[in-house]
Amino acid sequence: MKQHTILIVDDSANIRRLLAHSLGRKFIVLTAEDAVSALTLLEKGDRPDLIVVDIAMPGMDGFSLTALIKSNPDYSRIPVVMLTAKDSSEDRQQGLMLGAADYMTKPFNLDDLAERIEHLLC
Amino acid sequence: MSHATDFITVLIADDSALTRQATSAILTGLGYHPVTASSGDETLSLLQSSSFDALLLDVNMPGKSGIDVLRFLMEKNDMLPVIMISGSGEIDQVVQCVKMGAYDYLTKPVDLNRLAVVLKNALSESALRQKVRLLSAAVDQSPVAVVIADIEGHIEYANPSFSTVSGAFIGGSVAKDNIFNISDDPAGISLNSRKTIVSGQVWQGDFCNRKATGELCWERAIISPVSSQGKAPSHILALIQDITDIRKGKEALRRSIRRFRELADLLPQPVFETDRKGIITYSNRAGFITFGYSRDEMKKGLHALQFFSSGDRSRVLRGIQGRKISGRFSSHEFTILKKDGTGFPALVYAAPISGRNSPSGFRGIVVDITELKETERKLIENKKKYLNLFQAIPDAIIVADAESGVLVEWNRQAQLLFDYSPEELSCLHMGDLYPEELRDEAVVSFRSASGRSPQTLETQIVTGHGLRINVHLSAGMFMTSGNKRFVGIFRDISEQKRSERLIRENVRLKNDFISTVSHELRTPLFSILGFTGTLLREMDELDRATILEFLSIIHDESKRLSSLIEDVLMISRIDSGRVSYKKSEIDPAVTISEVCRSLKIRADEKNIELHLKVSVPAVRVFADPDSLKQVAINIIGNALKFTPVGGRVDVLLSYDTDSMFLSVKDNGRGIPEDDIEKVFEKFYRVECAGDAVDGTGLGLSIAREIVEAHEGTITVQSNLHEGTEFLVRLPLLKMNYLQ
Repeated sequence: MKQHTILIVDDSANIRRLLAHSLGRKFIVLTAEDAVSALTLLEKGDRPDLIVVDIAMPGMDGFSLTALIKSNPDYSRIPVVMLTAKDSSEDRQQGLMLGAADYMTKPFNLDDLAERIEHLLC
Repeated sequence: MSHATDFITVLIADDSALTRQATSAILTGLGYHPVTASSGDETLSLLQSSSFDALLLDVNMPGKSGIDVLRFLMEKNDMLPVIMISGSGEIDQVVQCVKMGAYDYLTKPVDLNRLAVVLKNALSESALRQKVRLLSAAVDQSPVAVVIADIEGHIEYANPSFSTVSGAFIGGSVAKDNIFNISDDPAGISLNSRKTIVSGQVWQGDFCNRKATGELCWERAIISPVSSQGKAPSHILALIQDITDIRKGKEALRRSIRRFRELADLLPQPVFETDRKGIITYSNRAGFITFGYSRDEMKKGLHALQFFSSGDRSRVLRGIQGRKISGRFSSHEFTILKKDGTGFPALVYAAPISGRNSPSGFRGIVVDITELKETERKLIENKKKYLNLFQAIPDAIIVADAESGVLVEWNRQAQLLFDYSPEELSCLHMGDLYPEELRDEAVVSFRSASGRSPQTLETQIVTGHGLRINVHLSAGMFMTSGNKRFVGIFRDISEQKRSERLIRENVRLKNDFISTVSHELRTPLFSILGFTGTLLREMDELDRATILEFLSIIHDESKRLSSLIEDVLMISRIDSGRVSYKKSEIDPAVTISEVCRSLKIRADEKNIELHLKVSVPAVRVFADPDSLKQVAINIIGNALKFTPVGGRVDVLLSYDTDSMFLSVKDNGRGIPEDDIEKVFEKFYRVECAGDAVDGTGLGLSIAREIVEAHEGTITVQSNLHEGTEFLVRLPLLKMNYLQ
């Protein structure tokens, strides 16, 4: 079974470290500290099987990044899972409307995230 | 005819020319005026065409004789004195003539002396006869009953009026022949009158009598004794006049006067009359009661002017003079004085009493208007009270005529709210008070309002200067003296609206704050939970270095969580005003130096040169040392955070006469111009593309709150890519500075 590649986009180094460690047990993990780094990675040719995007980031936020990914035919098929610390149904609505595949509110169980990702990938 | 004594015309009728001439000559000589006729026919013709004082008539004339002429005259009952002239042989005829009524006769030839005597006598007797005839005609025709009786009362003569005036006399029946012979005379009038008469005096008296027709009548009798040729009275003359009508007139007058007096006495208001000089001649009962004078005092003389207060007297006099000319009824208000000196307000209605040529006095009525005045005063007072209330109401009130819509009344607040002068308001229509698009809605609310159910709405008005103001409007309707009026009560709710907006904004900010705080809390919590979970699960699999790494992350995140909680609590305390600053006199240089020392390690970690410069002399500020320390830590720490590795942070403490200045200047990346105002907002963090910066986002917000609580200011200046300078200004404690 081919190992899937996951791109994690989060401005917090600690979160990146946590998710990388947790998801790294099942997937190949790439990380980006902001939207610009993530897009650069994609443009360089990296094609992750799924992207985990934090919404609240300095500079371009997670919504904008998702919108960009979903509007580019090269990456629009990549599922996006949004992470947020905001417990707002409006944010959830907006994320799903932009084409996010799933939406997780912090704090969440790390195993839950892994399960959902696996579910989205099969 | 006496009036013609100097021109007495005598007709001479004789067929003998000689006799005519001779007689004419004699008469002319005697001073008479002779006219002649030569026949009986001519004589009759002259008698019918002219008037003569005497006739000398020849007995024998051809044609109509003297006897024929005499007969004609006698048949006519003519009073003309006729003197027959006859020849010597005609004595029988003369006698016949005298029997027929001729006055006398003369024989031819006519003797001058005899003619003079006979003619004179004839003329005087004729005059006497005429006088008697006039007298008796006068007595006969008099409406007054005239009775002549002898001294015993036996009636010798009674004129025709006697029978019409009185079928009876002095109460009882009068015997036909004696005026004193009275069958029924209870008053003893007849005896009484008789005594008077007999003593030679005139008796006069009125009495009631019953006419033959049975109706009662009043009669007046004047009975006087008559004596001829200075002898004792031999007769009595009674004149009796029917005075029933006069008596009735007098009686009616008396009744009318009594009615007037009784009516006047019934009136509750004083009624008075004065004479021409102003002396009170009459007062009704109310007049005596009101003014306190007695009838005797009035009789002694009270002048009308003394009832008027001295201030009113000249006005009264003017009024009287005016009325004397115009004679018109008029009324005036005066202060009227009573006998005891007290006064009361009254209307005096007065009019002149009409006399023959000028007013014979004044008549009037005094109407006490004390109660009226009191009512009027209360009315005015009430109106004033209402007006004061109306003006004092803090809401704007406008009253408009419902038909025309024109504004008719408004209070002071309305003038202020609508910003119009009273003159401008009086020209406005109620619709003019609203912006055009709200006009219909407002007018409809008035139209649908009734007295009992006012309409309320929130709308806008537009002022005289075109300003729009949010108002709460209560629209009502009421009726006043038959006119429908709209009343609008306007309450300015712009302040209320503003505070509502402010509350909404505050609620939104609070919600945002809570939402942001929860977000800020969740991030480190998520890390802590995630790493501790991982450690628990994978402890056996993980190498020691990873475990240490994870633990140090957990430690950092816990510290961040802790300081975040501290900051949130601090903000919360500040917001709710629960922060108590323990202010004291401190030297800011000491505090700042301490902070810089403690931050030296962090600066060194990033290889940042942290430089502190304090300008002399030392000063004092009145501040809470811990709070001031926190401000310095937050600002200097912030500078260190945003200054790249190897940078420089300059801290400068300086003074002027009033203030202390703390300047913290870095050579970091600077703050974008758009964000410079937001740095003091809660949870604001300048977006950075490079390294992630940890922190709560509350530090500068807290710093500003503290500085402002110390009556200071905090400002920021920044140039992108060159650096940022924060400047804190705190007021100096002056006294200490001078020491």
